[in-house]
Amino acid sequence: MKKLLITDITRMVQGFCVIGLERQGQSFCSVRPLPPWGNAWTGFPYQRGDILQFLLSSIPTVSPHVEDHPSSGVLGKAGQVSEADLVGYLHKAETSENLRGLFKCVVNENTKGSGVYVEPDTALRSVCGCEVLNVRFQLFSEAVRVTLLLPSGEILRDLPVVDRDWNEYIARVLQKITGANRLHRVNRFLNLVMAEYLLNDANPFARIGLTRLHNEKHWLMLDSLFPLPRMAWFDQLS
Amino acid sequence: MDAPGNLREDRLREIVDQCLRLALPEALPLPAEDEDWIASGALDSMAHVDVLLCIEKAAGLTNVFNRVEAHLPRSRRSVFHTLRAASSEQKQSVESQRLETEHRGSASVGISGWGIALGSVRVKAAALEREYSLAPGTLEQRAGIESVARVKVQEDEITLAHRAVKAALDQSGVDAGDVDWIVASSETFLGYPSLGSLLHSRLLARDTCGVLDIGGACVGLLHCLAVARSLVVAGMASRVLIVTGDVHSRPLAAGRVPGEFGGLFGDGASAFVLGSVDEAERTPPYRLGEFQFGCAGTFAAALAVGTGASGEVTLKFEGEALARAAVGRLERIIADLELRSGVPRAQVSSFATHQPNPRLVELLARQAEVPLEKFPVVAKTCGNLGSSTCGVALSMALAEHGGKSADQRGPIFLAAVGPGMLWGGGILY
Repeated sequence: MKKLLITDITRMVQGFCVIGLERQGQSFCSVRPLPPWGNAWTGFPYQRGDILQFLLSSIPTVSPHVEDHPSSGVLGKAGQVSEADLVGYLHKAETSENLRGLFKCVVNENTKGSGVYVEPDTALRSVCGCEVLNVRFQLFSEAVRVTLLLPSGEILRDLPVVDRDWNEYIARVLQKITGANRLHRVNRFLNLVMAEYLLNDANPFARIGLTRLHNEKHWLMLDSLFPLPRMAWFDQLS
Repeated sequence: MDAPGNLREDRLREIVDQCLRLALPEALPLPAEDEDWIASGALDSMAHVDVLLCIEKAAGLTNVFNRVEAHLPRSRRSVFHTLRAASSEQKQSVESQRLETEHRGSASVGISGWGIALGSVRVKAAALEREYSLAPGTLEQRAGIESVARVKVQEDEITLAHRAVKAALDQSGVDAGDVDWIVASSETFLGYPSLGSLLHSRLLARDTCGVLDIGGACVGLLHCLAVARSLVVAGMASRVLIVTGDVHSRPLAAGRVPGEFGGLFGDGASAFVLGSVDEAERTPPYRLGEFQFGCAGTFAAALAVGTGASGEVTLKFEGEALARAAVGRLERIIADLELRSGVPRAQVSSFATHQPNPRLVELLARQAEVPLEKFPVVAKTCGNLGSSTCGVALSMALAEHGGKSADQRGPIFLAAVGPGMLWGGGILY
C-alpha cells in the first residue's frame, strides 16, 4: 500500500484525473493513480493536500504517461497537509524553469490554431511543475484558457485550464457577475484582481500536464495553479 | 491587407472555413452550414476553442468570442454571424473614431495613465565625485547634482520599465491584455530581444499586440508619443503603451568613461497609456497636440558615444559646446511651440524638458524667462535619465496638474535634445 499526497485534480471529459506525490528519499515523484477501470475517476471527493492510501500495480506504462499506475481505488485518508507545504513538496518533485525542461523534449506552438504541444514519443514524462512570473486568463463561455510566463522568459500561451478547483471557482464568479458585458467583466476581474492576488503570493506555482494522444499530439494543459482560488477574493467583486 | 472591420462578408466566410479546415482531419469534408461541429463529432471542445481563436486572429479582431453569452457558436453559419456582428461593430467604432479625429484634429488622443520607476539606490554627489576621482564640488557645485538614482544588482531596464508600466496601467484601469501596441525607447538597452518585446512577454500582452522599439536617445520619449498618437489617429490602435527604460550606471561606470560625463547620469524608467479621449469628462486627461522634430547636424560632433574594437566605451564629449547648443535649441523649441500653438509660455503649467544637468535647467529657465518651479525636478536628485528624463518630468507634471479641471490648468510643453543633435517638441493640452 502506498501513501500519495494529492497534488492535482483535473477535469477530464469522463470525470477526473488525479496525481499525487510519492516520497523517494529527499525528493518526490509524481504518480498518477488510475481507477480500477479506465483513466478517469468518475467521482473524487477529496482535496489537494489530502494524503490518500492506494494499492498500486506496476503494470508497464506508455510514454509519456510514465506516472500511470492502475489502483484498486482509494483505500483511505491518512491525513492532510497545508497548501503552503504542498507547494513546498511540489518544488522537490519534477520542476523546470524553461520550456525544454518541462517534458525533456521540444515544445511546439500550434501553427494551425492555438495551444502548445509535444510530438508523440518525445516527452519523457507527462507532468511537471514550474514557477509562474505572470498569468493571464481568457474566458470563453464554456472554457478557460491561460497564458503563463516562465522564469526563463518563455511563454506558454492558451493552455486549457483543467484544474478542477479553478474551474469551479470561475464558474462561481460567472454566477456572481450579472448584467451587460458579463463575460468581458469576468475576464477583467480574472486578470485585474485574481491575477494580482495570485502573483502577490510568495510562491505562484503551476503544474503543467500532457494530454493523452489527441489529434496525433500531446497537448499541454494547466493541471494546477497555486495559490488555489480563495473565497475572500470574491469581496473584490462588489 | 484589409483593416479589421473592413473585411467583406465573403472574406469573413472564407476565414471561418479556412480556420475550420485547419482543425479538421484531412479526410473530413467541411460540415454543412448549420451542422453543430461538436455534436457531429467533427471537433471536440478543445479544438472548438482553437478554431474560434484562429478565426479571431485571422480576422484581426479581438475579444469576439469571449463576449458571447450562453453557448459559443458551433456551426459555420452561427460563427459567421457572430464574426460579422463583431466586424460591423469594429467598423463603426473605427469610423466614429476617424470622424472624431477629423473633427477635432489630433487632439483626441490623451494620456490616461502614467508611472515612473527609479533605481532604488541614491548616490550622493560627494560619493560620486570620489568614485570617479573628480575634484570635490565638480558634480555638486558645477553641475548642480545632489544625487543620482542607481539600480541595485537585481534591477535593470526591464525591471524598472515593468514597475513603471504597472503603475501606468493601474492608474488608467487598462488591462495589459487590452493594449494594442507597445512603443518603447531606451538609450542603454542594446540587447535582443528588444526592450519592447521583453516587456511584451513580461506583461503577457496579446500575441496580436505589436511592438515597436524607437531610438532617439534623450528625444526617444517624444518620438514614442508622436508614433503612438499616429497609431491611434489612424485607427490602428485603441490603446498604446509607451515605455522608456535607461540604466546608465553600468555602461558609464567609473573607469569606463570620464567622471565629468558618467557622473551626470542616473537610472530610471517611465510609462504612459494613450488612447482616445472622451472630451465630455469633467476632468479630461491631457491630450496630445502638435509635435515637431528635427536634426541640427551642426553639433553632431559635440557628443559621440560608441563601442571600440575591444568592446570599450568610446566617448567624445565637448561639454561646454554641447551645453550651449542644448540650451539654445531647447529655448528655440519652446519659442516654436509658443508660435505654433498660440499659447504664451506664461500660461504653460509645466515644462517637461530634457535635463542634461540641473545647471542647464536653471540656465534654460533664465534665458526662456519662465519660473524654474515650472520645471519638474529630475536631474538634480536622480541624474540625467536619458530617454526617461522627459518621461519622468512629464509624469511629475501630470501628477501635479492632471487631476485639475481643464479651466484650472495650462498646457504642458515638451522639449528634448539628443546626440546628433536631434531635437523634438510637443504640447499637451
